[in-house]
Amino acid sequence: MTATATMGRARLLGGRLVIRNLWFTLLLGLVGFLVITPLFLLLLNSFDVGIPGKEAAYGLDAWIRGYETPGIERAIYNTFSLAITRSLIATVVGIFIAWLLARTDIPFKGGFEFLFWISYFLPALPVALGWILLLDPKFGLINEWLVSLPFIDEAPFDIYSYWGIIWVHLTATTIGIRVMLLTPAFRNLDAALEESSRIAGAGTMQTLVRIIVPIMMPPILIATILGLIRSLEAFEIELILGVPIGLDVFSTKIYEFVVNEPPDYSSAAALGSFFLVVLLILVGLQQYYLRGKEYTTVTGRGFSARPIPLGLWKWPAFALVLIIVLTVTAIPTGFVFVGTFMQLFGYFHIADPWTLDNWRQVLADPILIRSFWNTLKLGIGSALVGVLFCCLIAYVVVKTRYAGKELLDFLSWLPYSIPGILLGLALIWTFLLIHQVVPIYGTMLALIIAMALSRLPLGVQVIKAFLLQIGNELEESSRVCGGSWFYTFRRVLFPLLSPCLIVVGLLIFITAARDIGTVVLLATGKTRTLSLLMLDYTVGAELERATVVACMIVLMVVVGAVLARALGGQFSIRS
Amino acid sequence: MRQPIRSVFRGCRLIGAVVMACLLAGAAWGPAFAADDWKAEWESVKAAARKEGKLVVGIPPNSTLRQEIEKVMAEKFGIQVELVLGRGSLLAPRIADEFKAGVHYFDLVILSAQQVMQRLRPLGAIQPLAPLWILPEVKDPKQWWGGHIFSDRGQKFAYSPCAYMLDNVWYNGSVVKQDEVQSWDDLLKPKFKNKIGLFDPRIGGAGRGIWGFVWKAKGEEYLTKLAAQNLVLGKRRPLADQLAKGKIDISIGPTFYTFRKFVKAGLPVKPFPRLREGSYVSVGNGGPVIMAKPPHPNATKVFVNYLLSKEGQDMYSRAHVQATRRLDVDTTWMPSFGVRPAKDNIKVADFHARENQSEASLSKVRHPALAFAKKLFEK
Repeated sequence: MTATATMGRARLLGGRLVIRNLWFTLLLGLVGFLVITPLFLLLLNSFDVGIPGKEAAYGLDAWIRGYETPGIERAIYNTFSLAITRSLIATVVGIFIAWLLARTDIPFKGGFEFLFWISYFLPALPVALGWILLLDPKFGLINEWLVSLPFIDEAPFDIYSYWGIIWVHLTATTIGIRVMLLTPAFRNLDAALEESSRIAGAGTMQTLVRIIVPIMMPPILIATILGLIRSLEAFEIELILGVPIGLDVFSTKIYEFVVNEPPDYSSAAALGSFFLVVLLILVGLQQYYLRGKEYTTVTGRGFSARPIPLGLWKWPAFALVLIIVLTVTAIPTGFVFVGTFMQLFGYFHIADPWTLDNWRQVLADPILIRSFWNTLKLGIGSALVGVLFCCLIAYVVVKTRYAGKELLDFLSWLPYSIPGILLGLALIWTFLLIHQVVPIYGTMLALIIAMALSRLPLGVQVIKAFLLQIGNELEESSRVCGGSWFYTFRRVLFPLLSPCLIVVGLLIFITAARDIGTVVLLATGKTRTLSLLMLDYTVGAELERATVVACMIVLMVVVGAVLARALGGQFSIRS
Repeated sequence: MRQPIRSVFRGCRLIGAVVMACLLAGAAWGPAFAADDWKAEWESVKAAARKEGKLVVGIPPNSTLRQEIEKVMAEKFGIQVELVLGRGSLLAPRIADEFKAGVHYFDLVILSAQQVMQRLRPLGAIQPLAPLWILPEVKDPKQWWGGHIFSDRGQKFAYSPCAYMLDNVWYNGSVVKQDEVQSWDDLLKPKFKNKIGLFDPRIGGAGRGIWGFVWKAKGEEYLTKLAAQNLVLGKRRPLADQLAKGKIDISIGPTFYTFRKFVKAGLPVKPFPRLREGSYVSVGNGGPVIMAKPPHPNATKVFVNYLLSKEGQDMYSRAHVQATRRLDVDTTWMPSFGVRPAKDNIKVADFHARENQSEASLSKVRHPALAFAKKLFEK
């Protein structure tokens, strides 16, 4: 009787396991299709040497054309030089700020952390425009003010320069993402380690450098890779600030192939494959480094999170972080907001510089409301789809013994290897390929899938980092008490995960709200978003109206972030 | 012998009179029948279009044009237009990919000859335009300056409803005097080294138009010398900004369309009056190009006829500031917007000599000029 029951139970468990594995395989297949197909089509197209409009013929011409583009070596050098320089600066600054916010008694830490979120979420274009208003060598307000001082003869700052580009990147996203990802990780660190260090005679900074940073290497590595890949692919700021001074980067070369007439998608795709190689190397290194290490912090053991008192340094540190956070948020957005009331953006000295016309014209444009709703639909839709997929993938990778989990983890990185505009192009081909079976081409669902896919790596990595902190004993206890997998997930894991899921949802929502590159080729007249309206105004020589739309996107981003915060969104278990 | 001949003549006269009478009657009644024909056809197409209720059109990025088209088509014809804004170079490859996949999303798109010839015609993705014309005012070549002008060799697909010249060499009046530059040769003066901006011809648009014109008018040797002035290459708005801020003295390519806000703000940017060598004639963004299998065929016909009518061309010219060739549309206001309509300024023969967007000119002028630009600027 007992043996029969045991066998029956084993059979039941075995059956459940098979069904679970079937679901996981289905997930692997779906993710594989959605990730590999666009990548494959892009690579295939890079070998297409046929005359446009005629049958495809294959060869290496596009690769030769792409990699023999004059100035490509210089562009590659500039790309790495800019990306590595700002990554180094941002990592040092980001670690320091994250540590201050998570481990010390600095005042207003929650507010500061939230403002760094906002800085990461701001669209690049208005941030760059804001800094141009301030640091243009001839008309920038800061330069003008400095030149008016008796001891300064010429403008000290030039936003159209190597360091100008680095500055705008640091303020736009690079510092923000590090603080966003590292602060929660620092928060999860047991204070006993710091206390032991101090007992052993080390000072605060020595503890940070010798103890904290080495322990925090896994999240630092993830934040650095995510930031570095995005830095390598960035092109909007380089296009505005670099191209006028002849400073090209790799992604502006790809952009040239796409936008010049006639567009050369094959060469663009060939150049785009460069990012795939870089990503493979970086992810390989990261996985090699992290292999076999343990990061669980939420267990049955005690946990000390007592903040380190900064003493005399408390208010100077507060002032420093305040200056940084205002520099990365309030200053650029404030000046862009001012710019929306200008006849001509950036011209303060004309006879009648101020006007309400830009707002009047945009608010009277019938497409505004449609674009707003489309943005909401896209943002919410991609957030829901994205969170579901990211959560499932992260769960399978971290919490199961499924045989294909490493492949799934690897696949989840791949969308980062395709720059936005090429991803949009590749997804057009993918959706057209399946149109007869799954007719989603030209619909909002196509945009939702595109946006969810583009944020898959970030979402999966964030949730993975979160799940790694949760010990398996919580789930095991539920199972022992007879809870099914779904029950355990719903009652044990989901409540723990929900703050993180809210933040991942917010990340995807905001990316969708401000994205141009991925959706510009996929959108139709009825699915156009606010960011595309901003692009239409910009291309149509209406920069001032474009800044009004940019401010609306910023407002949407801030409201989204406040809501997420109010709903309890955070990156870590401990707040 | 004479009698039979006379009777033959008499018979011929009688037949002639009957034929004449028939012809006269036909002349008198014919237009009435024809008028009824087109009116009946127009009404039935409009009714069918209203039933279709929708139309998908690709147009150049211009918010005024977008708003005008949406409003007119909804109010006048009861058709909701889905407008997809984008440059031809982005829309045409997308439509080609759709066609190859058997997807027919667009009904028509405003495109230049280059996109039509390179991307769509080889696939058979488009259909001839003229069979869609219903309104006599559209069909009648006399209503159009130069008659019906198509940019493709077969005179079927790429209609050119617009023709005009642009002021596309501008200067900063606070550093350059108007009479300092009267010919393209004056741009080679040493004082303009590092001080001339050029709308990058590799991008397309007006930059490529003016580059093609100079290539043809002045030759490659001249362009090599011009490039040796260290031209500042860029897009329209950044170049306009640089000119207004005095970073460059002269800009080549951007037009009044880009500079209008700068002019309104009282900044010292001005166009040079026509340079000695003249200018090229533009056909703007091209005309309506019809998909081979438009999903809304009747709405497509309504749109094409409206767009090419007097009313439609007046709307298009005002919203998009590109001068129509229709003789019954007033374009005399356009020079104050930096646009000189061809019909008010030049002869038809000059148009054919100076345009560089037709299929024939593309291969003779624009393509070699572009290849030379790449050679010069991609060293």
